[in-house]
Amino acid sequence: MDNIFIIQALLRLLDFAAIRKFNLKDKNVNFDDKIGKKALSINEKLKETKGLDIFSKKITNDEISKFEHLIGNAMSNHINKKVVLRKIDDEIKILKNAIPLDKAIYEKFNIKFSDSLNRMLEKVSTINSEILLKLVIKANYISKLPHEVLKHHYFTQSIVNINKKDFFLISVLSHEHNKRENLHVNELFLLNKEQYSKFDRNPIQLFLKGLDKYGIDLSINGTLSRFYYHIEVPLNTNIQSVEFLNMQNIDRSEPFSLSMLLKKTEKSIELQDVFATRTNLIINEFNNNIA
Amino acid sequence: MKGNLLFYSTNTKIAFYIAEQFYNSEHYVWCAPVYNPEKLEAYDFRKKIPVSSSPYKIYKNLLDDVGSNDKHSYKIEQNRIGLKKGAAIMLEKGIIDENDFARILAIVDSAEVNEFTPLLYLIPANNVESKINTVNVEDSANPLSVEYQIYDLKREEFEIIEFE
Repeated sequence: MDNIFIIQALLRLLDFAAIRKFNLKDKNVNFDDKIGKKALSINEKLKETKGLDIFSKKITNDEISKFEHLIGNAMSNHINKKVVLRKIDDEIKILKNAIPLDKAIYEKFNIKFSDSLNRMLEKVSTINSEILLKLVIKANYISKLPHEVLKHHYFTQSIVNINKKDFFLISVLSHEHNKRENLHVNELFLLNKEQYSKFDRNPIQLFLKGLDKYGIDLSINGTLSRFYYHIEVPLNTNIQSVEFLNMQNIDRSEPFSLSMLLKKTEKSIELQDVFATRTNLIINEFNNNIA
Repeated sequence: MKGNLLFYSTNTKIAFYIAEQFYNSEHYVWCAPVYNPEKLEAYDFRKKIPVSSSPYKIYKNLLDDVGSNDKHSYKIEQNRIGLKKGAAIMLEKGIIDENDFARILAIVDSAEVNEFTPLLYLIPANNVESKINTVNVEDSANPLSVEYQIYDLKREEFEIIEFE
C-alpha cells in the first residue's frame, strides 16, 4: 500500500506539471488529501535540493521538463527499491522477445514430463499425466525466443470445468539436448481463469505471473533474481547442489521444483531458464480451490 | 464544415508494445482531427492546432531523433515520462499490479532510441465518437484550442501506418 501511495503522490505532481506545461483548463489536482500532502512535501524537497518548484509562477517549460524527469526517475528508483528487490532484466528480455509459433511445429514431437512434474501431478487430485498430455497437444498458443528454435516454450491452455472453477494451466517446455524429437514439460502453474483471463493469449505474461505467485528468489553469483535467462557459472560448480543457489525467503525443507537448462563449455557452465517454484503452494492451492 | 472522418495519433513502438502486453490491448492516446494542420487552408480554424499537437510534427520529430540516434532527444524523454505516467495511472486503477508496474518502468528506462520509432494510428471517427474526450487549452493565440484524448482505444478500432 505504501508503495502505491508514493507513486500516487508522484503521479499528482506529473499531472500538475502537465497542466502547467500545456495550459490545460478545467483540470485540477487535489493536494488537500493525504496523497496530495505527500506530493507537496516531495515538491518542497525538490525545491530545496534542485531549485525546482512546480508551483512557482516563474517556472519555465524547460524547468517543468526537468521536474518531470526527476519525478520519472523517482518513480523508477522507488519501485525498484521497494517492490522489486531482485534483478528483472531477464524477465524483461524474455517478455520483449516473445513471438508466436505455429503449434503445428511441435505436434510431431514426443512429449515427456520431468520427474519433478510427475511427482507433483501425483499429488494433484484431479489432474494426471494423461490429461496434461492431451492439454499439451491441444495447446492453442505457444511462444519462444527467436533464433533458438524449440529451446524455450511457454504456452497456455485453459482447463475447462475441472470442477467448480476454471484454471489456466501454464506448462513450460524445453527440448532435450540435441534431440529435437523430444520435448520436456518441466513446469506447471495453475492460475485462476477469472483473475488472469486478460492474458490468455500471452503465455509469457502468464509465465511471469506464475513466477510472481509461485516463484522463489534465487541468488546466483551474488545476483538476486527469480528468473535467469542466461548465466554462466564456473565449471567446478556443483549444479546438483542447491547451495549455490542461495534461495531467499524459503525454508530449505519446503519442497520446491528447480528448472534449468545447462550446457557445458570448456571454461564454464551456461545455465539457461533457471527458476524455482514452491511445489506445495501450487498443489495445495489447486486442491483447495477445486475442493 | 463536415466533421472529420479520421482522427490521427502519433505514438511509438514501445508505447504500442506496452499497451498490448500490459493493458489488455487498450491504448491511451492523444489525437487530432487533422494530420498536418499547417497544410490546411488559411481560414480553416483547425489550422491553429498547435505544433506540439500536430501528428505530423510529432511523427517527424521522433523519426528525426530516432534516425540520428539522439540519446538526449527531448521528444523521446517526454515519451518516457508519458509512459511512466500512464503506467502509474494503470497501477492506481488496479489494471496492473506492482510487479507489472516495475517491469514497465524497467522496460521504459532501458529502451533504446530505436524503440521510440513513431507509428501513426488512423482512427475512424465513427468508431470512437463516444470515447473522445476533449481537454480545453488556455491558448491566447487560439481561444478555440482543444486537445483530444481517448483513454481506451481498442486494437480493432485503428490502423497503424509507418513511413519514412
